[in-house]
Amino acid sequence: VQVNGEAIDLTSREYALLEIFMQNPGRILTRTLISEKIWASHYDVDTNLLDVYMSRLRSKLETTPGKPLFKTVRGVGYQLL
Amino acid sequence: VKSISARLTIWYALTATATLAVLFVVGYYMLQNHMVKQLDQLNETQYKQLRTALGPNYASLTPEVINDRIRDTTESASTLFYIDMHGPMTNRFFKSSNLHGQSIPDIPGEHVFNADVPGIGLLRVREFILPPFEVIVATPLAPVADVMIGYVKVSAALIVVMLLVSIALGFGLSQMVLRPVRTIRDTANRIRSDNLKERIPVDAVKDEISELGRLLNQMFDRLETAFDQIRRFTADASHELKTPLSLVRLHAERLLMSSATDPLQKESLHVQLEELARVNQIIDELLFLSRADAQAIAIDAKPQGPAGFLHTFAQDASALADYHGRHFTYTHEGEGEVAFEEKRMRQVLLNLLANALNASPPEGRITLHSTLTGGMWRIAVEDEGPGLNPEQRRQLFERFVRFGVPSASDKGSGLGLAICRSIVQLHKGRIFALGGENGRGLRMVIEIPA
Repeated sequence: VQVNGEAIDLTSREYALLEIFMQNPGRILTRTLISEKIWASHYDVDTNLLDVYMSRLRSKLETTPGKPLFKTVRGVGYQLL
Repeated sequence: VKSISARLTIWYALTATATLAVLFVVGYYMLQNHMVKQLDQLNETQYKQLRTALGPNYASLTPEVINDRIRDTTESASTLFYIDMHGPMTNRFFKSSNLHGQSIPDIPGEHVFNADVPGIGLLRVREFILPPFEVIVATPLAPVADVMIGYVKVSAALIVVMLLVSIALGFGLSQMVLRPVRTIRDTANRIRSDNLKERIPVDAVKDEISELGRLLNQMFDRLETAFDQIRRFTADASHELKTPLSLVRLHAERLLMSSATDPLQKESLHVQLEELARVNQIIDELLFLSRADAQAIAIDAKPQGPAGFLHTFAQDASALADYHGRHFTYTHEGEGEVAFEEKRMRQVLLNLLANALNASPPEGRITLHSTLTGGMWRIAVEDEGPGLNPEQRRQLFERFVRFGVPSASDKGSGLGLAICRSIVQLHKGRIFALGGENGRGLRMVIEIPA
């Protein structure tokens, strides 16, 4: 994946996550939906694994300060802007 | 003394030995009395012989004649007698030579008594009146004393033997009596909320202990019925809550998307949705457990090598551990396949990991060791947290059991490990908690037959 012409290494999980967002640009994706696509299981409140991966993805891709790529919709899920 | 067995043994030994000791004391006095009476009879026989030897007209005999006649009689006697014969004015007619000139002291008013003669010892004395004389016949008491000393020695030895024997007997008896109590204790200890089917074995013989067992079993019956009702209620309630809950969620999401909702309202909708997610998860967990109780869950197990599964899991585990500032490492040894459902086992391992992350100190290490040998897949997850005591480790898998201080990062429902156990049991395996190595931390072990 390239951000502003710069190559970024993503793990397979991060890549799968990004892929889901790219397929649904602008749509709010619920945590349950994302979890089921990636782990084939419902979203687990206790481990917040999805939030962990989102924060990793953001730290790698959101290189321009003040210009976020993803929006957190609290209680629902995430949205690719 | 804490144990009933020890108390019973001590009581039994003390009562048995004390009874024997009392019997020995009574026996002592009876034997002594009997032997002294025999001496009295001997003295009397000796006196009768003397009187016969002296003849009917003894009063007119000279002291010399008396002396000769008595000496003839006493010399033929086999027992040692001391004889002292004197007239009214204490003029002696005869005194046996073995008295060596000493007199036997007289106790006025007594005819049968014990007297101590210096140089001769204790004597049993009997006084006879043969007017105008007084005849005193005495026998030594020393043989009686010898017998009594022997008796005391034998009794003391027997009491010691009795004490030892009764301790052994008492211990054996108490073990026999307490065996059913131990069975009750062990069974009652095994019966927990997830194992309410077991009952205490009760003897057909009706006694106090089998009665207690029966009563406890009746109590377990009532508890089991009550538990089943609660379980059914939980299952029904969770099921009934699912639909209205998703409707509430749907409407909240719709409101959130609407442009007519102001930011303050949106904020409270966020909170509502977050909490709804939690409620939803708890309901899912309860539903899972009640379905597992009803054996309504089928496992979609596929035979596969665990290495690939563990590798994928380790990615998530490391990401999660990094996020929480902990370290995760794993090892896997052994080749072969084991049948398991990937999704469910992942849920189990994630749960163990989440618990380990919560328990670990910052920068703490969480290790997963997996081995597949001898037809058994064994996974151990170990943390460096404070660990749990053995009693807590036993209760750990029961529902709504939680240990430690609830923190902001740990909002579990207390059902996680109960679900883990259900899943592992559905794989025909078992899960248990051990103390960590070096006495610290907690080690959760899963064993699944390959």
